[in-house]
Amino acid sequence: MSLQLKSIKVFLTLTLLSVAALLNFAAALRGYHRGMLEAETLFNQRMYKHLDLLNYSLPGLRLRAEVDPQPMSYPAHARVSEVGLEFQWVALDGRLLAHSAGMPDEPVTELREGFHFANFGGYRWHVLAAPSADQQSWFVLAERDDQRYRMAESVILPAVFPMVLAVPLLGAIIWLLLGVGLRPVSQLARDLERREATTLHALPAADLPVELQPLANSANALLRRLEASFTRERRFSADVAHELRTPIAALRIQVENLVDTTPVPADAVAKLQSGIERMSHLVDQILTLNRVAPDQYMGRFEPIALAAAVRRCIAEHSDALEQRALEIELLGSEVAVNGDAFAIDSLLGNLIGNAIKYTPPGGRIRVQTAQERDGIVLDVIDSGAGIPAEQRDRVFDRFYRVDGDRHVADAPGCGIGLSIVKQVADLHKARIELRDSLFASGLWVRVVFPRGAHGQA
Amino acid sequence: MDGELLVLSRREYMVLKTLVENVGAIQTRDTLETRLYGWGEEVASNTIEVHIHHLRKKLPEGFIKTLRGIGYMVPRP
Repeated sequence: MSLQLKSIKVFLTLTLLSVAALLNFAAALRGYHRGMLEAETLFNQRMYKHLDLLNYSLPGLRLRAEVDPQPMSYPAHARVSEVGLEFQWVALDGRLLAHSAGMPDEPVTELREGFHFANFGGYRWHVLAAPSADQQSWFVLAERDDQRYRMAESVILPAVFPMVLAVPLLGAIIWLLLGVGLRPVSQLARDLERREATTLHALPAADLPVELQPLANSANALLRRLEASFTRERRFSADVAHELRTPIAALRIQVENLVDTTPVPADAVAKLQSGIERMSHLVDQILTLNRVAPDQYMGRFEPIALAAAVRRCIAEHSDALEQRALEIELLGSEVAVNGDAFAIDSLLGNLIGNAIKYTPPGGRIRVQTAQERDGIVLDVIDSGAGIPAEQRDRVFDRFYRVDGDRHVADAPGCGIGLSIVKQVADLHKARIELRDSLFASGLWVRVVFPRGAHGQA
Repeated sequence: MDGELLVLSRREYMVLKTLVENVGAIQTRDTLETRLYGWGEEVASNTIEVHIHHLRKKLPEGFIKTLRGIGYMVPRP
C-alpha cells in the first residue's frame, strides 16, 4: 500500500476514527469486564444474604422436620419461577432434610464450605455450601449460571453499547470539522488559481491560519518576482518596439528613394521590402499587445456592431483574399458587443489574418456571429492545416509558433497574434475555444463574449 | 460594355461607381449603404441587394462578385 497522502481529510478522518474506535472498544471491553466481575461479587453476596435468611428460618425448618422426617420439597414462589435460585438443607451425614422444588433429592455438591460449580437439571450452577448457624446441618444454595450471566449483561450492555454506537457518529463529526478546518486551504487554492500573468497581486496572508501563512508568504514572494519580471519584459518590448518605429519608417523611405534613383535588382528590393514589412508588422503587433494589456488598459468600452466590424476587417484583407483565391463568407446576425473598438479590431484582424494566412489557395473561410444563450459568439473557421490538439494550449504564449520554425514557410508572422487575441479576450472577459474545423481540415476559433459582462468599463 | 449603352438608375450608378472605383477591393454592405445615404437616399435593409440584383442583369456574368454576408466587389481583371 502506498503511504503517499492522497487526501489530508480522508487520512485524518480515517486515522482519528480508527484511534477513537480502538480506544472506545478498549474502554467498552474493560467496562464490560469490570462490570461482569462486579456483578459476580454482587451475586455471591446475595447468596450469602440468602444463607442468612435460611439460618433465620432454621428453627421453623427443624420443627417441621421433627413432625415429618421425610425430606420435603418447597415449591417455588409463582412470581419468581424464572429466577433459578434454589436451596438444599442437608444433615451432617449427607441425608437431605429439605430442598426447594428445583433441586434434586440428593446433595448437589460435597459438603465443603465455599463456592463450587455443579451441573444438574441441564444447567450449570453456582453453588454455595455452608454449615447452618447451629453447625448441625448444611445449607446448599444454587444459582443458575446462565441466568446470572444474562442478568449481569442486561445491566452492563446498555451502559457499554452507546460507546460503540458513538463511533460512526464521531466519524461524521470528524469529517465535518475537518471540512471546516481545511476550508482555508481550498480558499487559498482558489485564490491562487485566479492569479494570471496579468493579475499577480499578493495573497491575503494575514487572514490565513498560521499553518498556511508560510505557504502564502512564499507564494507571494514568487508572485512578486513573476510580476516584476513580466512587467520588465512588457515594458522592455514596448520600449524597444516604440524606439524601432522611426528607424523602420526611415528604412522604408530609403528603399523607395533607392529604387527611384539607382538601378537595383527588383528581387533584391522585394526581399528588402518584405523584410521591412515583417519588422514593421512585429513592431505594430508588440505595440498593440501592450495597448490591449488588461492591466494597462485606459480606454472606454462602448457598444460595437460585431458583424460590421468583421466585414470591415475582411474588406481590409481584400488583396490577400484575391491573391489566394479564398472563399470567405460571414454568417449570422448583427450583434452588439460592449467593448473597446481598437481591441476588437485587433482581435478580428489577427483571427481573420491568421485564417487567411494559414488557409491554402482556393480554400474556404467562414466567420459567424451569433447571440447565444451564454453570450455573443464569434467563430472564425478556416480550412488550413489546423493546430494539433496538444499544441492548442501553448499557441497563446508570446512568440510561440506551431511546429516551431518548421512553420508554413510562406506565412510570415511573429507569433504574437494569438497573444493579442488572448489579451483582448481577457480584457472583455471573453472565453476562447480552439476546435477542429467543420471543413475537412483547419482550425475553428470561437470567442464567447459573456452575456452581461462589461469588461473593465 | 463593349460600347453598348448601359441604362442605370441613379442609385445603381452610385453602387457600380463605388465598386469600379475600388476594383479588387471588397466593398462591404455598410460602405455601400453609407455611400447611398451620403447622397441623401433612403436606405432600407435590403436596398443594396436589390440594386446589385438589377445591376447583375445589366452586366456580364461574374462582373460583380458577391461575398456572402460581407459585401461585393469587382475583381481585378
